Amino acid sequence: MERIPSFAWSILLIVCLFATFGLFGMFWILSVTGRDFWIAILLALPALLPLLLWTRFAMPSPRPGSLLRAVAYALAAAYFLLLSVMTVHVMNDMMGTLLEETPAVAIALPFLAVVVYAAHSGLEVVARLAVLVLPVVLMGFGVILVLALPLVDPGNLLPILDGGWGPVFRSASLIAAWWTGFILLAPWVERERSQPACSCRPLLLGFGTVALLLTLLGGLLVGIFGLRLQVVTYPVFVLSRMVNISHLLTRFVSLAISPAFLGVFLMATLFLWGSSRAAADAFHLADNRPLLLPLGFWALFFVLHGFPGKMALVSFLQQTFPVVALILGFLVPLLSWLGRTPQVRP
Amino acid sequence: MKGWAGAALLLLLPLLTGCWSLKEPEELGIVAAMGVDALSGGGYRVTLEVAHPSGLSKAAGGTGGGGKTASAYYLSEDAPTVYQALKRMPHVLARQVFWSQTRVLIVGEPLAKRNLLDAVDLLARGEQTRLEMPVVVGRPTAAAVLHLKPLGESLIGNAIVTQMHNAARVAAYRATSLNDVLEAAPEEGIDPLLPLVGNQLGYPAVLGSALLRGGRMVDTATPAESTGILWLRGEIRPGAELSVPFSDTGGRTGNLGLTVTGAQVRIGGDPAQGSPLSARLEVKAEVMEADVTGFALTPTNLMQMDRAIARRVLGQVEKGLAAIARSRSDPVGFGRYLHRFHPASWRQVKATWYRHLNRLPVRVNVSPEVSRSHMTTGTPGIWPGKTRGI
Repeated sequence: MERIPSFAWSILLIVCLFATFGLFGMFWILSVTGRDFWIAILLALPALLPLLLWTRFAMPSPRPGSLLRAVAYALAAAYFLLLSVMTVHVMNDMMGTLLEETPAVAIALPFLAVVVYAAHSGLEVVARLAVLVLPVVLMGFGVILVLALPLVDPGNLLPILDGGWGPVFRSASLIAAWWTGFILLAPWVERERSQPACSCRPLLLGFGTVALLLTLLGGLLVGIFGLRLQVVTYPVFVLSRMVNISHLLTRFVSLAISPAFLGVFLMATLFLWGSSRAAADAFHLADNRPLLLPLGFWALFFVLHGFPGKMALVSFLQQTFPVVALILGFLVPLLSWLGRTPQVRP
Repeated sequence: MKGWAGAALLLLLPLLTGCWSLKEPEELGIVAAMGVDALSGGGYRVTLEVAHPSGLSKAAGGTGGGGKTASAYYLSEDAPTVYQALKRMPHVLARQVFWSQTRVLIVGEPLAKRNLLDAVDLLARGEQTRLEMPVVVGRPTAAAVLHLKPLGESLIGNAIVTQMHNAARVAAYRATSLNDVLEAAPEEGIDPLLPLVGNQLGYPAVLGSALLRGGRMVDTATPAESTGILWLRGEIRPGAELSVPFSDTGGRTGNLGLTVTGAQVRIGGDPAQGSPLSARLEVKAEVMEADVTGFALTPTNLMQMDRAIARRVLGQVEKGLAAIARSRSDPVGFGRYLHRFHPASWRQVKATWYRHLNRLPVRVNVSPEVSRSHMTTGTPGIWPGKTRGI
């Protein structure tokens, strides 16, 4: 029985990637590519296709198996935990910027507690929540779009490819690396959906929609900020200070934060769930839920101590992460394929 | 299990009440205007105008009566960085410096000549900064401007902002926000144009504009030159005043008072391809006053008016271009135009762009259009039959 509809998985992808991009992508992707960001987004999509096909071929449905498979799944579990940690870390940093006197643990601890609780409820709950959240995300984006349109200077999008193709390719590789996590996670999601094999369609639909939405958002932000976008950490919040609507809507910042907050919550939950699922398969456990609390504590520890600060995270994301992500994206399915149990023909 | 989880969630509810990271108003020193000056030995002098709410209400005629209460405190602090100066302020003020409501940032002329961008870095980073805050250059220093007594306002911050809002009516300057400065900083081929505020008969007033090259102030433009530059930037807003010397076909001379209802500029050309830079201005205006005895709005006079407006605008633009050539600053963004639309040409001239500005030929074309004459078509004493109008 298919408990999670295909569209819900696509929507989960859209919410996770689109709603959080104002937090993540901007300061580590845009700082590389500047105003040609939208080209990088469009380039990242075809770059992911070989990885998607390879994952589908080599790891159709993850099942506990040989030692090689256990290693592959343990690597995947660690990778998903890293993605969950990075997600919460960025959110923690953003909240710390807005609420300067609030200790980091006061934000991260309750947040991760709710994330663990949601992951404990299962993927179905997370997917259905994403369906509910999508209108909020799109509404938030719509309001920002309407208020910010008068600030857009289309001339800021010119000249195209001022810095050549180099930064664009580098930026595309960063985007592709970030999305690799979803491709690797897809086989576990498909198994949860009781699908016999990893389906590409929801992923392609999700990535395609996100690419279009981000191209639009990126174009809008480049049009507003110009080259300054390369040094703006949280453009949507800076935008809320540029839009002169103080008498009309004093809580514009909250409106801008809400979709990002929901996206961060869903993404952290999704990857924590994925981490527990992959770890359960690595250790031949039937149930992943007992692993969630310890993984949650690990996540909390890494959020608070894993990166000394945002700058260390940015440096990691720009230099080490793309290599790690692309290697794991290839290696995990390879180990899983090598460690497969031969089919016994009757 | 679910019951326990529910009880635990209920216990967490009190955490959701009240304010987090609250700031009590009586503990805040609300900054109305901030001035930053350069110290001769390096470092900054930060001067703040901190609003005193009870003094403000008395100044505005509120109840409370009694003795005089100042509407603002003025504090100065010297430090190696602006941040440190602000952090030291509470030692004197006994309040937390709160600059979210700062109405205007005044950068002293000597500091602007050193590098204006140094002074705004803290504000660009600060989470509480309002980016629409106007930035002006203070002559001779920011502190001196902050200590001037404005006319009709208690706080100098408010006075300068009001003057900025009124800027559109006189067309000689425009408010440049912190956001404008930050946006122009990384762009190639454009420099910010900031109002220059100083002492005029004992009151703070806009004296002209500060012309910058990169982040450094290199020259000043008179109000007439500033107007010319604003025409070229397409920043003469509807409502701006335009006085035009006029002589009609009958030899009658005088002045026309016009209001600009719309102005657009289109920059063109590519000097590297042998086509000089051009600026095509479309100006729409309506007649507010005709100080010409016996004037009537006839078709011939309409054409004469168009020519007079074109001549006047062209004269102002030429003054602006002269200021650009003299200062070798690019407040119009001719370089940015080349960068955006002719990147190959821009690469050729980029390194020596500021030297090019000294002798940059710009072809200016003005297309005026008078759209309305309001309630009369002629001066008093002129009516159909005596002189045919339209």
